[in-house]
Amino acid sequence: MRVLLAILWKDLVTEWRSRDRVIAMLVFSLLVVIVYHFALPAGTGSEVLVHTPGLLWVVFVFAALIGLNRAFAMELENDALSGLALVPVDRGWVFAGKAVSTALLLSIVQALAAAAFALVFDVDLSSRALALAGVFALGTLGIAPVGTLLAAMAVRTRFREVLLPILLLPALFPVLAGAVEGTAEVLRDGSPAFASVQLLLVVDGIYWIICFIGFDYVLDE
Amino acid sequence: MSYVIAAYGVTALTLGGYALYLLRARAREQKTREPGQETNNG
Amino acid sequence: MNGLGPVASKVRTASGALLGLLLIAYAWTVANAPVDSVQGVIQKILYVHPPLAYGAYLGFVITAICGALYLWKDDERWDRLAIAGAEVGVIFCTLMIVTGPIWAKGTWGKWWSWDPRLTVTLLLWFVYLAYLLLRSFGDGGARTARFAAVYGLVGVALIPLNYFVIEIFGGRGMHPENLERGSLGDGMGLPFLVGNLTLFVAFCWFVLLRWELENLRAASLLRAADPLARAREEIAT
Repeated sequence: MRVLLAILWKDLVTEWRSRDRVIAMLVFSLLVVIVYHFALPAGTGSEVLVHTPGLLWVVFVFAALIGLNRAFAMELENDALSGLALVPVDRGWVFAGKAVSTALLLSIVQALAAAAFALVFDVDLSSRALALAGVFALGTLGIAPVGTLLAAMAVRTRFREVLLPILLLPALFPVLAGAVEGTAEVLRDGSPAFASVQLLLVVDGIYWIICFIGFDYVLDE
Repeated sequence: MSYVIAAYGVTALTLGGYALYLLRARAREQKTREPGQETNNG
Repeated sequence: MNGLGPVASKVRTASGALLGLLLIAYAWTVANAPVDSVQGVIQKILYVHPPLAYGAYLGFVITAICGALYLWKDDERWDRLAIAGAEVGVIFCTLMIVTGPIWAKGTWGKWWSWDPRLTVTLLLWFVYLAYLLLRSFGDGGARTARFAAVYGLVGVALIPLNYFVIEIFGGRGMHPENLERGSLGDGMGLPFLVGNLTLFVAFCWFVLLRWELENLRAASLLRAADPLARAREEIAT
């Protein structure tokens, strides 16, 4: 557990000093929102609202991919990955620290990207902000563990930037299905239905357990 | 009828091609395996 | 000597011989199977489509189990069997995804529907395609084998999760709920059984052959990396 906090602290401090990951994710997300604006037919609020959940989660997934591609890049450059592997504790906690820091960074990007989306498309997300934040958080907690596990693999293969989305996207179907459905329910009814929250909780729990155990075999030497 | 022929045809051709590929690859491996030997004791 | 153990080697030879007989029986029973009164002759795709599906799922289960055994026992032969399961599974799954729409076009009138079973199978196909890409993009050593084993396990964990999603969000399927024996018309049970048996034996033969190939490749790589062992072997022979 102390390892988790140490890794988390290290990641956040280095991120705070350089800010390059968050800035890259953020600029990319804003650009995608702008591209949406030019690529999609102009519509009024209610028409856009139907497509908002899907469009938002596409932005979030791409932003997550950008962030995850860099998640282990620094460790690779300094050969710190071997150092992390040598830490005499359960490597699952190393994983947990990494995943939590990714989730935190992604949450910041999500908040700002959703705000930008609301501005560009003139939809009212702020009145549902709390419920939306809850669904975003549950979805992010599903993306972060699988993303971290697969990023740790992809970073040590050829074509790592290409391989990560190929590995990750089919694995994200359950969490994206729940998150998009939940977001749609919030925008329609004001709060997510029990079914989608239940699905997200179950999927998140299973992802965390599998990835916590699996990371032990991914990080070594 | 043409649908049935298409379904069985594509299955037979694919599996047949895959079998040939595997058998040829195995034969190649067994050849390079014993470069000095005439007989293949596989 | 070949690249398999004595038992697996015998099983492969036997399944190869059995396969020859079964193919004849398969062709004969399918040709003579009764024509379905509702769907017509296109219903005969039944004798190839579900058996391919069983092979595909079996291949992926083999991959996951052998991946787990590899991580547990650290024996590379399990890893090579996992490769065989994934590759043969992907080929069977591809054929299932190809024969399905052919049948669908003829009966439902359209090539594809986002039927739950179709969706899950398509996702599974992508997962194991990604598995094979992961193997080919890796450095080929023990690390790649470990990554692939972990990914294969994540892949099977996705099967129940995906079904869970579909169950929660509904989506009615076009597939019959259950393929019980009783749902087959008169005279259709035998060709269905023979079809399943033939493609199952073919599946085993393919997996064992692919395993053998992988073992041979590993052995020749080992020899290339170790000239001393090679010289010793040449002296011995």
